[in-house]
Amino acid sequence: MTPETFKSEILPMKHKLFRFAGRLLQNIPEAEDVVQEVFIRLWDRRDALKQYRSVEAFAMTIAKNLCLDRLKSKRNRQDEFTEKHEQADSLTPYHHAEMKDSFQKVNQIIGILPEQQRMIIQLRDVEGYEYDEIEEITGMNQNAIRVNLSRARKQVRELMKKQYNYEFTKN
Amino acid sequence: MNSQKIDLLISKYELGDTTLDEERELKAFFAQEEIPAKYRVYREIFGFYDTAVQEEFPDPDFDNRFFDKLGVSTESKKGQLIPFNRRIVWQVAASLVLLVGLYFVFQLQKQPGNEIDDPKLAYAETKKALMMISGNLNTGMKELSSIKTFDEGVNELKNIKSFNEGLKTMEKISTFNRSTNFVKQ
Repeated sequence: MTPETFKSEILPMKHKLFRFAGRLLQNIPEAEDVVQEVFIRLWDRRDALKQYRSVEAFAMTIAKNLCLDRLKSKRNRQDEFTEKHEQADSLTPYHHAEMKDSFQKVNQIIGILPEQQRMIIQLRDVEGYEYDEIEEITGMNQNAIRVNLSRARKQVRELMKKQYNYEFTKN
Repeated sequence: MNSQKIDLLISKYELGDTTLDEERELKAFFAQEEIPAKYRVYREIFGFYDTAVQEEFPDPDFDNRFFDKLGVSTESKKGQLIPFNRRIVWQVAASLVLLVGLYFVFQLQKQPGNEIDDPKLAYAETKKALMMISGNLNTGMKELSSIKTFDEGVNELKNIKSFNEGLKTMEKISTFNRSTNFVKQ
């Protein structure tokens, strides 16, 4: 695969990979690092990419593994204070803006869901993947995917409703 | 869509049982301007998914930076020649050889007094004519071998690219000249 083909066929996945890594890591610079790392790995295997039925699913799987590794090592460091601190600093400008913005409200709520639920919500409700694709990317079986998705969807709705009631009574 | 159908779709959705099409239907429904107040929370949630999918990678120059980091050049090779279709070359050459051959046969036939009564002689003459065609054909084939040389020539042309790179390097000399002028001043 030539650099030109890599650029026109592989690199355009950067947006999707970034959204996915961002959802999992909840940290923009780290998500950018992960995307670059995914592309380095794909570049190293550029001549073998034809063998994959879906390069995109392969790329998303690499991204998932890199993100989960990062999350795991963060937990192992047990340095929660600095972690929170880092996160607050690395959010985009509009994350600092009024949190009442409905986009931010949902964003925050999804951000506190467990990793697997965040991952599945991102793949299904944001990116619109079919269940067999989500199965390939996450390595989970379809039943587990549906169970997690169902929990996540209900949880988002519940937390949103709570927030609304809170705002209502406050006024 | 009536609210009964929406309620049904929502409960299916929350159980993880909707298809992608049904989920698109829900998104479209909640994207409408006027929807009942009880659906406000879903409007925000589905609106979020619609917006979130449009988020882009922050660095617009990522592609170039990526290849720079790898040390790979992605300059497109505009000067490169389109590879010659060898099959067509062969087909055209073969047709030409055939036409030349046929022309000779006609010439022989046209010449007056060429009619031969003796079958043996006729056979010998025919054989001679055919040999001539085959001889010409072989000469034609020899000519065809230069196509190979032509291909090599085309390959050689690729070196022009290196020459171009050389020229680019030479541009630095002009920068050097400018600095020399500057020093003179």
